[in-house]
Amino acid sequence: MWSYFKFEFKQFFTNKKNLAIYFLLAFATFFYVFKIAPTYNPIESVEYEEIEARYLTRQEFLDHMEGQDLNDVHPSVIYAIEIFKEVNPVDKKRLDALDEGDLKKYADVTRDWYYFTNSITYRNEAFSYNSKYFIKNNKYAEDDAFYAYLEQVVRYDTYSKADYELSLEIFEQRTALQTFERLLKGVLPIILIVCVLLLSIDIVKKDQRHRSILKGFPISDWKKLLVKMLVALLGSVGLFVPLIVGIFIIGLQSGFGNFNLPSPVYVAHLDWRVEGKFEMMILGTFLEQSLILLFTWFIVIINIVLLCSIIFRSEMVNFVVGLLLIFGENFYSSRYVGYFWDVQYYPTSYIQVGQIISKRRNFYYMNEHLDFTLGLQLLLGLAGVVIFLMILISLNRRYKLIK
Amino acid sequence: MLRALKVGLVIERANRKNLVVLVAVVIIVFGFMFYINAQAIGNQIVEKKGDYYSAQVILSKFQVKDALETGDGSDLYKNLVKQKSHIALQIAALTMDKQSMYYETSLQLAELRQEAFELEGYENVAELLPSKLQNSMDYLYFKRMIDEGKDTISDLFQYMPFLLFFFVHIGAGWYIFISFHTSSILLDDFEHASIIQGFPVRFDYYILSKCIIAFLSIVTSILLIFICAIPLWIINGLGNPLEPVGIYVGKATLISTSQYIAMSVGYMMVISIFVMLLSIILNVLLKNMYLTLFVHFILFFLPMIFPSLISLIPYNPFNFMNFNDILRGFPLDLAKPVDITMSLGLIMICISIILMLFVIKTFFTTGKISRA
Repeated sequence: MWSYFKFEFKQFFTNKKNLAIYFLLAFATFFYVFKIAPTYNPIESVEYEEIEARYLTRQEFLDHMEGQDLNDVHPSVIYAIEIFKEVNPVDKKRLDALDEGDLKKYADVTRDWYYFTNSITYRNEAFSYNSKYFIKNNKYAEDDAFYAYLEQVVRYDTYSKADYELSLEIFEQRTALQTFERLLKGVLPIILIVCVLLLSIDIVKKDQRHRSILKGFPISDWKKLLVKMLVALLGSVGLFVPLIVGIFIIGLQSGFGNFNLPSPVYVAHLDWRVEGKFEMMILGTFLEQSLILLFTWFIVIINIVLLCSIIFRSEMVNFVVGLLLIFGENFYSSRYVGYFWDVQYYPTSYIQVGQIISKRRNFYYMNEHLDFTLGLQLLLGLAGVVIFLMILISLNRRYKLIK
Repeated sequence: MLRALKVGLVIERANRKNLVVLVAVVIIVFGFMFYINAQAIGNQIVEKKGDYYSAQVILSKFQVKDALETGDGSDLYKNLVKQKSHIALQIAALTMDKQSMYYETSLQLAELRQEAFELEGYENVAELLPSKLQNSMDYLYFKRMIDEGKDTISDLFQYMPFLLFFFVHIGAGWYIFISFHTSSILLDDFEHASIIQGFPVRFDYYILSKCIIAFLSIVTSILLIFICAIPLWIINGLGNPLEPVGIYVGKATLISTSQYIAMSVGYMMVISIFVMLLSIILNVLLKNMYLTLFVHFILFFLPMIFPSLISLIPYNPFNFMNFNDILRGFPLDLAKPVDITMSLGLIMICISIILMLFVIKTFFTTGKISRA
């Protein structure tokens, strides 16, 4: 058994295709670290000029209206005066805090600012969210901004109570761990899962080239398959090596961050009074749960490939089946579809690992049932069924792994 | 020589890889069509709305003031407010289908932006606005359109505009495509080294016949691009082959669509030869397809990842592989601008080709071919 493991292990890591995948992933990581990460420009950034311009404009208006007779002006002027009187002192405090360099105080007042601004802006025609949300002709810009503002409230609330040192990098989510968090909510899970698919795609098929050597191993077929699964899993852990190097470089550039930073979770109740509530979760928990779910996906993909390999014996079929599973969500995913369909019962709905944990996916689908535990159960169940089928087939006496 | 070519052709005809390459070209061309459609590229109204919100974002950095000529706002602020109202006018003109008014407004907008470059504090707002070179190209384009009295807007789903869009965006992709295509140009034969060594042809003739065959399949791919787009011609018409395009050749100039396409095809062929010869050298030295690809990619992507390398070594032939960027004047927008143009690039690539031919002729012989 051990010698077979060593044999498979050596074959896996000397396979030119696999080395190419590791190499390309490393290359993509460096491209990201040096080229894309520095151009990251969040919409909700700490921008002194913007706050100042808004503050001065409104203050001038207030000064102008001071002491005037308001009896025959348009009601919206009175409305504006009321609102500006509330929000302007907050903007002033934000500016003062930035001037003093007191980031804790800035976090404290910024939380109030986001909360108040959101409450006057959402579904209100008189005010509008930051124009950057609308640049890409986004139909759902208002919803996205609503989500972002409330998330910022929770973030800044945690910062204001933080016992670690704050920095502008932390506020704008530029630190290494926060970059990893953003990537997990984006395209990274899909890239990694596709890499695992490509790594394991020929793990059974390659045996055809070494028939005589393999027949020398006195191990039953199902044990061989399990060893192959283990090797592929170890190989997929290897995918994290270039990523960790990349994260380390980003850490040197803009700070590492820490595991106690906030990573808010959307509370998906469909009750309109508590619509858009966020709860606090620390970054450590987010990363832990994301990695568990991601790793479960690795197991599922590897087992699906193994099952397909022993049934169809064609790399192309493995590839197509794997891609269908990975991109299956795209066939039904669209905004708010979860309100009408039970998307939570399809394992494919859980491919966007980071968005599942932070429940942004729930907001996107408008569905309250998608969550970590259900996803884990579904995926593990799927993996269990596939492993069971695989062993059942390979225990069949007429079946031979190597023909 | 001729015999080597004939035998090579017979072998290549059975090679399934060529078919895959041609299918890939077809898929890419049709993929572009779907992409344009899905992303609403070329839909002027959608793009101008994006511009409008960008202008709004820039203005959010300024306190609202009186933007009249006599007002108390800064010059830059007044300029930006005017830009925003011009963009609004553009959208209005497009919505009302008044093309000539659209061209006039766009020209005025380009003039406004031209003035803005000189104003104080411009570097704070530069991020969301077009670069100086881009703007002067726009200016030339709209000026030409007004001078010619045009009152139509080109539709990307016509034949010529589509081809133009395709060739403007193909740059980096072409190098990658060719390096995939040629990465194992000699390797299949290394598997049967004894046959090659027994083949009564000189090594340089053998290489030459290989090159000619690979070049033929590349030319076929380029032709296929033109053929695949023909359905657009049949459905939506030819489009205007003389529609001007702005490029940078030491200064901003306008050339016609057909000229641009012809130029691109020329560059693509020269680049293909360069890549092919490099593949041959790497194949002989490394004897591995993946390693060949890696070296290709590293050489190609290094100047893209670290643009300061372009300023440091402006004559590196790999700077010119992404020819669309050079034609767009991209090196001028670098932190340390360098003035390189595609004619210089052509010279550099040709010199490299001659050098590589010399290396192959002198140092490589049939004896080098042994099984990987």
